[in-house]
Amino acid sequence: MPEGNKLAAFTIGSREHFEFSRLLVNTIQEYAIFLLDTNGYVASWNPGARSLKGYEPDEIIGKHFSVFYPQKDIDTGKPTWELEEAAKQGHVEDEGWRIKKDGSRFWANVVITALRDDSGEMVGYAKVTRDLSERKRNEEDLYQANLKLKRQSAELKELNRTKDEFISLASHQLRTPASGVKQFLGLLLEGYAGELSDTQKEFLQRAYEGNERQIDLIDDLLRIAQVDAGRIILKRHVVAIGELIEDILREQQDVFKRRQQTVTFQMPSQQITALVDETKFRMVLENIIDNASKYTPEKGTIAVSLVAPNSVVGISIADTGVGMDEVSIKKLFKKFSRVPNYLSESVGGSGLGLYWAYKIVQLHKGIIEVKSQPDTGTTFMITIPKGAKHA
Amino acid sequence: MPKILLVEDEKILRDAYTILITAQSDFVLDVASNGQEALELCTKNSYDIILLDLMMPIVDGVGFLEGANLKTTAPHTRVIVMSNLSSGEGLIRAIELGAHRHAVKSDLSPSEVLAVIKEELSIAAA
Repeated sequence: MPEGNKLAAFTIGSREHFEFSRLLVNTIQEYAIFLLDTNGYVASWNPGARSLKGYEPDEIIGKHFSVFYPQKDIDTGKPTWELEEAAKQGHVEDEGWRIKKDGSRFWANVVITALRDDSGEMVGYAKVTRDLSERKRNEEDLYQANLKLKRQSAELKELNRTKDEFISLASHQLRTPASGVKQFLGLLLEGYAGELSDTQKEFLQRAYEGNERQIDLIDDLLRIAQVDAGRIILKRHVVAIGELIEDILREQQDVFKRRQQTVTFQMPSQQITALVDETKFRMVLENIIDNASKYTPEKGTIAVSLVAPNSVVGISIADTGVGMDEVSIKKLFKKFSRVPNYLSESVGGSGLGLYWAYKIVQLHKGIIEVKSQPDTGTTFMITIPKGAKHA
Repeated sequence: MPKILLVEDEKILRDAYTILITAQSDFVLDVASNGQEALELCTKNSYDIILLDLMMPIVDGVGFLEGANLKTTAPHTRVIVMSNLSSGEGLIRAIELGAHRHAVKSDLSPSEVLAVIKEELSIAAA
């Protein structure tokens, strides 16, 4: 017989088997394994029990096992109840606090098994105790971390709501004085306070434009607050996208002309429609086309194209402008991001337009992508689903 | 001569619109600084145009429209809501209550305000 297979050779109940069992109990350090007599007095003590609970065998043998329980459990009669249960059911399993010799507590898994002789008579109990303090600690840590996370999440939500409310209220309150400034500057410029010199007109015009920019900023802030608060609801209907783009290009043609920019628009001969919120989607396209023009030097080119493969509509807006590096592209769709270049100082902006565009395209279940190279140009690509069977 | 009622609680805007409208020799203007004053004026006068702000103390724009019941009492009056916001509950309610037109105050220069008034007058005259 091979050496390693000695165990298999023992007959259950033989003296050798009994010796191996004793060896097993006396070798195991991780479990406290000991016997109780029928009244619950400790009758044996293994090394595992010694290292777990701290008692030497001669200190504990003969003592009642209730010493391992916290006073609260003793008061409620738990030790006795557990023995009765084990006697009735065959065994009882429990998890709870237990006390070491030094008075410290540990979280234990305890199994108490009733021991009966061949005739079925109770001879005592086997008790196996395992220290689960570390697991308990981990669970406790996890629970606490979870609680903390929940609390922080609630705090963040509240903070975010307050922020949205603040922006909304502030935008509203800021508009009134800005509207007042606009009216009075407008009255001056329109001659309601008498003739103005050219210089006076020019200065007033600059003040008027500054105020206009402020109003735009307030509008942007309000829109962003609404989109961030999830308060934007799309009002979608079938829109001819080609016509929409043509309309935007027509509207901005004076600006292109002033900058001597060439604008091209390519689209298939058949009409392309999609289910979009026209006002908001128009703003997205206006914004990107406006950016393309702003960030393209004089005499540059802006090429817009529209395609409709399968169930999607793709719009690409490519310019021969200042372009961007990788770092700028990465933060392009973030709030308040403004890309530094030699044109950005002369180009007023809130850094909110592309964030808004990104959010609106996302609400249309579409994507917006950008390709760019410094000094070569930028291409924005918007892809949205047509969104309806007939679209 | 067309009669206009301006209802606006913000003094700076009330003053600006007053200067603008009274400078036109062919308009007659009454001014109210909230909905309650406007309601009182409406019991004694009939207006061709009402320029109505929405957010006002005491009685707001919606409260004015509810109280004035212009559809019955003054069906020829054109109501132009002049608000700070381009959307919202109040605006929807104002349109339900018979407001004919909506303009965002910060969008309009003085000449554009006049253009809106004149457009509404020509609709009323037609």
